[in-house]
Amino acid sequence: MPSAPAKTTVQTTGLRATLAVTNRNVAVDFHVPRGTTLALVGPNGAGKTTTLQALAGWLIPDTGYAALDDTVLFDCPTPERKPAVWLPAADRGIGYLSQDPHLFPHLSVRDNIVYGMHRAGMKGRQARNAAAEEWLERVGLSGYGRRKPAQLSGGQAQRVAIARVLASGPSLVLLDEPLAALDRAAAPALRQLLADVLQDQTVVLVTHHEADVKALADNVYRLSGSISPWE
Amino acid sequence: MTQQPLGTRRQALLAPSIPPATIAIALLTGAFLVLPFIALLTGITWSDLPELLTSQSAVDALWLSLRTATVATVICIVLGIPLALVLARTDFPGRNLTRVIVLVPLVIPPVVAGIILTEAFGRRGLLGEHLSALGIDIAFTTAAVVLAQTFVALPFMVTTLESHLASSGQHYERIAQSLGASKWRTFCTITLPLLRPGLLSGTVLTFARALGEFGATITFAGSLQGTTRTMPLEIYLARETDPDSAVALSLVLILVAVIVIAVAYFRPTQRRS
Amino acid sequence: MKRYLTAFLGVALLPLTGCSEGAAGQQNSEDPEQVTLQVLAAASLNQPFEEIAEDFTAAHPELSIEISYAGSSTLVQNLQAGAPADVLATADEVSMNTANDAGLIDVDSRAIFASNTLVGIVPADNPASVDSLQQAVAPEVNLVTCAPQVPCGALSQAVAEAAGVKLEPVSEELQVSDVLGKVRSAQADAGLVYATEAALAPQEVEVFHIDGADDARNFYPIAQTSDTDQPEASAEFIDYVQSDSGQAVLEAHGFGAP
Repeated sequence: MPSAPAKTTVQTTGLRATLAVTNRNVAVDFHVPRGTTLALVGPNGAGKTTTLQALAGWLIPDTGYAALDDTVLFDCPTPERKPAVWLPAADRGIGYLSQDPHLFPHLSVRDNIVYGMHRAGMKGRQARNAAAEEWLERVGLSGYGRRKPAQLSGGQAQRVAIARVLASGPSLVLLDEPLAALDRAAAPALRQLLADVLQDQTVVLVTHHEADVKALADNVYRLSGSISPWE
Repeated sequence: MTQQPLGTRRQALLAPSIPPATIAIALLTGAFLVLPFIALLTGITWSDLPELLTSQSAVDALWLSLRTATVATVICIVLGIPLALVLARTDFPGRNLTRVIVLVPLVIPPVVAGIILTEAFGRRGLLGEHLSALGIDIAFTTAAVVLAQTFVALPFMVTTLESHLASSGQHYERIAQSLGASKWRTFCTITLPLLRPGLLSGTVLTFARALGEFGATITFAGSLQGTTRTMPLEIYLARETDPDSAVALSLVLILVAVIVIAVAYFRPTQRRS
Repeated sequence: MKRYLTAFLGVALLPLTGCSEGAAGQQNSEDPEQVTLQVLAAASLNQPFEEIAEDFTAAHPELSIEISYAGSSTLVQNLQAGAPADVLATADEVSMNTANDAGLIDVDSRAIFASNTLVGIVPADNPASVDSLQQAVAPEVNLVTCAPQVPCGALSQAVAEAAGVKLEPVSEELQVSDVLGKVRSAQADAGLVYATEAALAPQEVEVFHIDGADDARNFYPIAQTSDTDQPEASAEFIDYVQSDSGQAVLEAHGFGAP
C-alpha cells in the first residue's frame, strides 16, 4: 500500500484517501480536489459504502491513510496494531447523507437542521433559527420548521436531511445513494437541488444512477481502480 | 387517511386473520387471569375495609414499600441504562456470558436470590465482611430491602432497554456524530429521548417487580415493622392471625400496581396537526 | 360467529372431562385394601413425624400416610378451604382452638402429645458474647425472633414478659426456621427458637437456657378432623403418637413431654 504521500500544495487540498479492507475485498486509492465531486461507481459489494464508512469514521480499515486538506483523518499502517491516527467521527467535520434521511424523529424539522450548527460556528438560538429558516427556503420547504419528520413525505424528508448536513458546515460531504429511496417523480427535482447546494462542496458520491453522475460528478472513480474525468 | 365511504357512521371492523381457536383460547386465558381478581373483590367485606387498612402496621408497610420500590427503580434506571447500552452497542469477548448473568436473578427463586445476597453482603459475606469491619452493616436495614429489590428487578430493566436499543439501531447516533455532536451530547440529546418508550415499559416492570418482592427481602433484609416489613411481608404475616386483613392489604397492593401501570401507559390520543 | 362459539365451548369444557375428586382416606386404586391417611402437621414436626409415620406404617401395613407440613395457621386455613385431611397436629393450642371453633375437628379426639420450650441460640463463635436473655436484649445485640403472630413468636413474648424484659429484635421472622437460618449464618447475634429447631443445627449454633422458659411452653395438640373417612385409622395414629414409641421419637428430636 502506498505510504503517506509527499506534501505538495496540489496534493493536500481536498480529500486524499487510500484504504483497504481485506475481508470485504475493498481497495481504493483516490484524490478529490477541493470543491469537486467524485462519484464512486461499481457493482454491488465492491466496497463503495465501506469506503464511505471509513471516511466517516465508523469503520477502521485494515490499512489506509486519509487526509482532508491538512487534517489527517486516519493512518492505519497495519491491521495488527491500532491505527497510528484515528480522528473520531465527531471531530472530522464530515457530513453524511444516505438514502434514508434518518431525521431525528423526536425533534422538529427546524431543530433537526439546527442540530449541527455549533460546528459551523453559529451561536445563539435566534441566529440559528433564522439560519434554519434560510436553509428551509433554500431547499424549497419554507414554513415547514415546526413540523415533525413523521409528517413529511420521503422527498421532503430528504430535503431536510440535505439542509441539516449543509447547515453543519462540513468540510466534506459523503452521499450514499441519496436518491435511491425516492420515487421517479421526486428524484429529478432533488437531483437539481443537490447540484445547486453542493456546488462549492467537496463531495464523494456513491451512486448507481447515471443521471446522478451526469448531474453531480466532476470525476468518476470505478472501484476496479481507474480514475477519469467525466465527459 | 382514506376517505370514509358516504353513509358509514363508523369504521368497519377488520376481519381477524388469526384462527378462531386462538381467539377462543385467548378468551379463556383472559378469564383465567381475571377470575382471581373478581373473587378477591367479591370476597371482601367492604365495611371492614377502612379499619383494616388504617392500622399502623399496614400504613407503615405500604409507605415502606412505596419508598423502597421507588428508590430501587431509580437505581435500576441509573444502572440499567449503561449496562443495556454496553450490551447492545459494544462487542466484547464474554458479552453473551454477561447477558446470561444479568438474566440470572430473573430465573432463580427469590429466596435463592436472598441467600446469595446474604453470601455477598451479609455480615460474614464476601463483601459484607469488609463492610462490617468498616462499621457498615447492611442486613436488617431498609437499605437491604432496596438492595434486594434492585437485584431482582434489574434484569427487567436491562432486557427491556436492550431489546429496544437493539431494534432501533445506531443510525441516529451516527448521524448525530457526523454532525459534530460529542458522544455525551449524542447520548443526552438523541439516545435517551429515543429510549423513552423502552424506558417507560422498563420502569413499570421494574417498579412492579420491586413492589412485589418477597423472598429475597425476607431472607436477606429481615422483617421488622417500619424498617424492613414491606407490603408483601405484611400480607404474609397478616394471614397468620387475620386472613381478612391479609385480603384487604392484597387489594391495596393490587390497586397500587394498577395505578402505576395506568399512569405509565395512559396517553391522551395525540392529535395530528 | 358460530365457529367462535363452538371453539370456545369445546376448549372450555375440555378440563372438566379429566376431573376426579380427591377424598380423604381414599381407597388406593391398585389395592382396595390399602388406605391412605392424610395428616396436616405443623412445620416443626417435620422430622419426628416422618420417623413416626415410617414406624406406624411398618406396624400397620394396610395403612399408608401422607403428611403435609406448613405453619399452623396455614394448616387451619387450608382445612377451612376444604383440604382433605384425617388428622391435624398444630404447634400451639390457639390454632387448634380456631379449628375447633370452625367445627373442623372432632373435639373428643383432641389430645396434647408434646410440648416445645423456647431456647436462646447464638452463632457458633458467639460474636456478641451472649449467654442469657438479659444479654440478648441489649441494644447493640442483633437479636432475631419470630413475629408475635406466629406460635413461636407468641411464646417468645410470653417468656420475655415473664422474665421482665422487652424484646426489640432487628427482625421478626415469619417462620422459626428463618430465625435459625439467620443465626446460623451469623447474620444475627442471637435468636429465640424452639428447642427442637436448635437441635437441627448442633454444629452451627450454641444454645443458652432461658430462665422461666419451662413454665411457658407451647403445647402441641392433635385431633381427628370432623369429616374424616377413616376414624379408626386416625384414632390409631393419634394413639401411636402418644404411645411410648411415638413419645420416644419426639423426645429424641428435642420435644418436651405433653
